[in-house]
Amino acid sequence: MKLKELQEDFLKGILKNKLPKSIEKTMLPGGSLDLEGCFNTYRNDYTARLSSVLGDNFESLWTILGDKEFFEMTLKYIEENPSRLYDLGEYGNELPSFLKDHEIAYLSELASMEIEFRRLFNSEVEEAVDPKVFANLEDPTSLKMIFTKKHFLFQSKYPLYKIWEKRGDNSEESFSQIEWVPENCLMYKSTDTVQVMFLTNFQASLFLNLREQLSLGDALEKYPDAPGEEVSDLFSRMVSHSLITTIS
Amino acid sequence: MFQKEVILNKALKEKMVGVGLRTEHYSRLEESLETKVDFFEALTENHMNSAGRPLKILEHIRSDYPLSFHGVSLNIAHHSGLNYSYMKKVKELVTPFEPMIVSDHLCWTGAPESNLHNLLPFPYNEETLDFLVGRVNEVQDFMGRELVLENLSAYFDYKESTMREWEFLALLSKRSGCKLLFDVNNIYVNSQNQKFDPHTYMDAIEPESIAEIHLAGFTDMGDFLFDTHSKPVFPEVWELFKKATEKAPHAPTLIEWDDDIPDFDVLEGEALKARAIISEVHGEA
Repeated sequence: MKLKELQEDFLKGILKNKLPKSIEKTMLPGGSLDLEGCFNTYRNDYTARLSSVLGDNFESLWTILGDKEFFEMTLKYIEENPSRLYDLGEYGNELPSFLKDHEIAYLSELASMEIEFRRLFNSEVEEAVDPKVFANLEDPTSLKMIFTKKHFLFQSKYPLYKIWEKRGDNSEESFSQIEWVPENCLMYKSTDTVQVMFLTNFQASLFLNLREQLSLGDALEKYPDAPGEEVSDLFSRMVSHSLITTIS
Repeated sequence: MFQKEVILNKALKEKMVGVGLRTEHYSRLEESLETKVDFFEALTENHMNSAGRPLKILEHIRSDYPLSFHGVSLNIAHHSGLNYSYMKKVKELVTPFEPMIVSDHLCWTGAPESNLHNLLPFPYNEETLDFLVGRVNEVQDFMGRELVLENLSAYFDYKESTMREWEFLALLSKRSGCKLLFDVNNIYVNSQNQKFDPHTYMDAIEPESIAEIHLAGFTDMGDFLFDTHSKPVFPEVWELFKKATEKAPHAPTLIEWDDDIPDFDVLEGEALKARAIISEVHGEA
């Protein structure tokens, strides 16, 4: 049996969970393992390794679903999504679409939050505009801003971040404290850590307009009744939290 | 710049002992770099796609210690072509750290479209030897450095094998110029599972081909020994280590622990045991 044929058959066998006849004929098991036992050592290691990675990468999902349901879900996911990666830290990036029809409606969004958190965690901090620059601006309304690419705005009907924050905590008490209200959560990388800022609906909408590089004045024209306090609160937080990397 | 001069002197003066760098110990090492080990070994893939904490910790550690890199995804024994984008990433990651050793495993790990994330054996015969010699040369040319390959734990052999693992390793090193990462735990595990004398294995390897020694713990599953890296080094493996360090005093020794990872002190304690054995074997006080 040639190397190519042998490797292709072994791999198919692992993915389909069935010891191929061709491998059966060539395999000399170690220890006192029989053929099936030997093959299962590798098969079980494959699923255990990927399940464990999904557990590490999506701890909040594990907390919500509990052991039994989480690992049943991971087995199905692994079967449908073989790893093409060499870095297991990225395994599971298709989970949001895999979970989109799950009976727990926010599970898919929570999976996205895990992925974005990891992406931000592994990213480099971008240099921000010095807050002193803003103090000397003559006409802030003409200001156009470019934000750090190291951010993600989650706008959800569910308190996603507050759920995510409880990952690893299985006590019922902990979840009963969550107020189930919609949430606008801006996650961003600053000073080596991933940070979070909560926005009102108006602030989230204004932020998205500014992100499209509308000037502050042009963006505010879209909101005739813009609450002044919320505008200045958003602006001051964007400046002090180093979210703005370029201004023009 | 790193204190290369100091590090080289240290390597010449001492038989180095190190530990594998694991996420669980980042906080301890960020707090203080004071340890009793001589070097750290990073798992290449854990640091390849990050500009965040996993990269910062390498920079932090490298300010005081030499580093080596140990990969699991070279997939050198797979029949398809080498993954140049992977090798490029490895090269880009390791080069700034001036590592003392860059290693991977003598195995295949899956296909480009499905990585099994396991270290899989292949038949040891003339055909695969020729194939691997070519592959090693290709990797060494691309990386611009000597490749170091680790012997793996395997739970089966193939009927297509015409030579024993140690014969294959010795020939591969001789013909390709690659060096070997001598994993003493894997030798012991294979010797029990495949019923051979580990001393025969160790005797067959040329001392100068050994670039590094690895030690770890296995799990006795009842019907076979499983290389889990989840326990302290077993007494039988310490015994074999005496022979390994006697054979290759120049090779740094590393303690690997990947599952049920203990506090750093415990890991450091294993490294100190290795150092004590090295001193005993080489007659040092």
